[in-house]
Amino acid sequence: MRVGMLLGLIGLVACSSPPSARPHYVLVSQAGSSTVAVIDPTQGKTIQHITVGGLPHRMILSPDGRKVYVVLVGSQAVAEVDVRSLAVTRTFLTAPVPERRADGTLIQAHFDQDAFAQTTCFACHNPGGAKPFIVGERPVGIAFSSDFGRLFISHIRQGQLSEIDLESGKVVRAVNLPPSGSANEAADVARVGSKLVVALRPRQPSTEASAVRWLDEQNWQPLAEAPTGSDPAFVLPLEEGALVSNFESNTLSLHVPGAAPQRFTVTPGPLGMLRVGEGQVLSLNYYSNAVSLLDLKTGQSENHRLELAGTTFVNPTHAALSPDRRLAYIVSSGTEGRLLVFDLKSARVLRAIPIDGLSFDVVVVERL
Amino acid sequence: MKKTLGLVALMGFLAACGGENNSGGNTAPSAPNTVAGLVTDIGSGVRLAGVTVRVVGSSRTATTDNRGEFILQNLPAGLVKLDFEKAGYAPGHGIAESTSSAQTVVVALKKEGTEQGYDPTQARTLFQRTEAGPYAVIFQPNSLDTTDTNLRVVVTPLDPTKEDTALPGDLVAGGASPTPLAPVTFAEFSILDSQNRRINLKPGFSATVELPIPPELRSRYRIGDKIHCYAYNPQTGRWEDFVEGTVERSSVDGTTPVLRASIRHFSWYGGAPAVQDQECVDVYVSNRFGPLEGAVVTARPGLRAVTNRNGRAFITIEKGVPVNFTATKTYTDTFVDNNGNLIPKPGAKVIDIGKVYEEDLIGLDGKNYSRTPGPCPGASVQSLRPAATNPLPIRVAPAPEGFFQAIALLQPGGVAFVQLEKGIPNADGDLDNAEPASGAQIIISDNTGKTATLSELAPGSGAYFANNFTVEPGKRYTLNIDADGNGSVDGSGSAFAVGNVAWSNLSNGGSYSASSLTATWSDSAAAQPGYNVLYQVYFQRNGGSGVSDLAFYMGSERSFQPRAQTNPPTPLAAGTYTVTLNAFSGAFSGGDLDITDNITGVGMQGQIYSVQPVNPITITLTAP
Repeated sequence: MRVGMLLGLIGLVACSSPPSARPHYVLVSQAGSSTVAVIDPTQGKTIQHITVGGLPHRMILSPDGRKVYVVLVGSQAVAEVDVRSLAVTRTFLTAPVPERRADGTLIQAHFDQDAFAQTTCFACHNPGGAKPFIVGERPVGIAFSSDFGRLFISHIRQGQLSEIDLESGKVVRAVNLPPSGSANEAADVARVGSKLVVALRPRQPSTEASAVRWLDEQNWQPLAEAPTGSDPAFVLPLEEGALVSNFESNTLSLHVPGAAPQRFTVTPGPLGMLRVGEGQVLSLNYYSNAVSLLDLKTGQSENHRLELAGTTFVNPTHAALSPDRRLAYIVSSGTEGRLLVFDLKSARVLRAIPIDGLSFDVVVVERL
Repeated sequence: MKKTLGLVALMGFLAACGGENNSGGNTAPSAPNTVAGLVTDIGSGVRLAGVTVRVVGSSRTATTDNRGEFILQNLPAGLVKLDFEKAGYAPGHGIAESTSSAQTVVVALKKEGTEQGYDPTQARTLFQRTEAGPYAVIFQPNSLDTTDTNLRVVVTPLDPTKEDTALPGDLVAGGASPTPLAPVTFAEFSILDSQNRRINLKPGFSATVELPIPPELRSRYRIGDKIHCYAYNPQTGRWEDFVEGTVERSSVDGTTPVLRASIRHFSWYGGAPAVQDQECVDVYVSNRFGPLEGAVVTARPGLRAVTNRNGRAFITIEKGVPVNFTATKTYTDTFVDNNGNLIPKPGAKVIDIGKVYEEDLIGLDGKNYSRTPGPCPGASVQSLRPAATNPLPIRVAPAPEGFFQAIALLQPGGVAFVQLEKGIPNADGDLDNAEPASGAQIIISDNTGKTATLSELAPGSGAYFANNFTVEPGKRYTLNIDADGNGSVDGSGSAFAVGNVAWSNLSNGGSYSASSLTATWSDSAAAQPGYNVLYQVYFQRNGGSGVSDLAFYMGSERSFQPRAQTNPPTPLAAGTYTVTLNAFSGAFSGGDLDITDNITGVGMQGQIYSVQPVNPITITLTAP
């Protein structure tokens, strides 16, 4: 009887309390050092560096929370990080290793060293290794397929979109997307239901328009297209549409196939975006050292500078939610890197954890 | 009065003795929360007086004295950001840590570029051209945050391969594990309104800038390459707004490879990729008293470190490129007597500086210094490292008083000669009231490790040469000059001795067709990596003075088709010609044999060069 009452009380307490922050790590891609930092937010410090490859940028967490995929912009590859072991388990090329340079000359070293058997260019083009350090088609955007068995990767060079089968680790499809006007760089890709959304931008810097193109996920046939700012940086998938950050401006634009884009105003330099609640988005505004909490229904946004104890934290890039959804971990990516612990309710920075300068993306993983 | 003098002299004697006995020169006071500094002109090396020094975020200011020095005391602990202003110069910035001992800021200012008018309602490309190419800023109409239509735009180019000490702040991606940034190309952009206020872009607007890739770096950065760009934020003392730029052809001249990128804040701006290939270097800083604790060592490209009580520090640098090391130390309430001793004196200060340019270490002690792959371990690990056997030595001493100018001649097959003068530079950079500088320590070394110390030809002459040291044609020589003889190198520079140059297809008394002749010559050093020589050739018809009697060549090729100075050029007139051939290396450049300083340092400048005249020959040119 007493045990039953106790269990009942525990049950009541558990139901009435907000969800607790489960033990977790925060992973940050550190472009300057070819690593992903593993940060223990409880200790407030980096506890491990995982060397992943050249210029790690965007990251995506698998639905089961067991794998993190890191796009290696400088190594033409994706690194798969196992969340339990916090180690790279596989790497996948996002495009074939080339036989020739852009000028048509043969890359003899690729034949001599059997580069075609590698799964990342970082195997050879690494610190102390072959020059140049940064090579390849510059993959940037990443999205899962509907069945989560494949990855879609967008590339800056030649506007290429490729598809990687996660079981085999091979590229199973790759297409150079037709440009839209001068927009020929595939800056990001996201999936909304059974559609892919690709942001095509002109070579930067530019003042010409970019395009947001909708493709059928299966056959990659174009479904719709609409113009956007000259430098779309990130595509945030929503239920019916996609929110695009126009990095060159102070706007986000909401794209829905067949409808005119809807524009929202934030502060200058929006880059990453994070869904933080029903109809609410946190915009990371790189050039204004601020974030905007945007209500998609009303179009209203609250802007908050990233400051703590008189220090301004510059150049926010991306953010991730804590498991209890109360905090956003924000990457401040200036040359003095910081991971900011941002309280969403009070909209203020609670803590700044040192990370490497020039860091970029962030994901939260459970401690397995 | 006599008593007072005697007391002062006695105190000086005692202090000097103390210094000798316990290496106590290094134990002179160095007040906490104090920043002292020295400001020079990057072009001439001259100390700059009257520079306004502002502490960012406070009302504290100072002005450099006639020695170009300043001191700020009782600063709050932590990072101190400083702005430097002087009319005619681009804004300068520096940072220092306000800590338990005084710190030094050594700042070089760059003369600003030419002012250009701009109406911000118009789209416009404005540029400042240098030998490297056009440095441009491309404005969109109505993008600037002003209603003033009479703006002035100043673009001040900076080539980090020659002028990196004028770059503000630390070129470091800091944070948890700092990474050096390798400077590629930079410029400062100032937009001023009618009231002389600085104007910036409207929020959410950008401009495009194009910065030439320096010729020395063009083999590393090709068209299409991406380079990370940053803007310097004087408020935070950091390089920020990291964006990616692309190497493209200049939109101004269509040929120069430039780094093209967007800019959001006008300030110092440029490209500097993170250094991937790093090494850890063991440095040893000393002064005349021995190892120096608490010296701040800065490496470019590289990081910053502070020496321990043994004068040692480990510092991360970029691997595979020449690195410049600077060590500084400041003493407060201290002055240096005539014997080089540090003597207590309230209100006085001493700024010790030592510089080592790795490129100039040829043959000198420290060339083969110890280095290990990868970045240096963290501070806690460093103390556990065994002492390396061959650290890089950096000798520090007070920066020289006054200003020194050196002219050094490398005579192939002959002597190395240096004329050293001391004086006060005028507005043109020349020395006024120049006097021969005696007592200098000058070391010459070649690229095989052979070294010699130059001796003064006669006391008071300021002319130095090396006994039993013959300059070999085609070798690269480096001079390290301790101009005031106090133990630290004040300036250094290198040049190739011209190789053995001779005619290949012309000989004295020969006869050649004026229409088909291509004169060619050889140079025994032509295959040397980095060898850069200008050849000057004259064909002058004996007794002739018309345009058809003279042909002239200046360039680095080793062949030349003599043509009259007609339009279009035609073969020379038939006749007897005197033909001269001279070769120049070092401080000479361009088609007009422009002379540029290639001996640089703090408080000194100069030129090192080599000339090889070939005996004139007489030939006959026959009619076409």
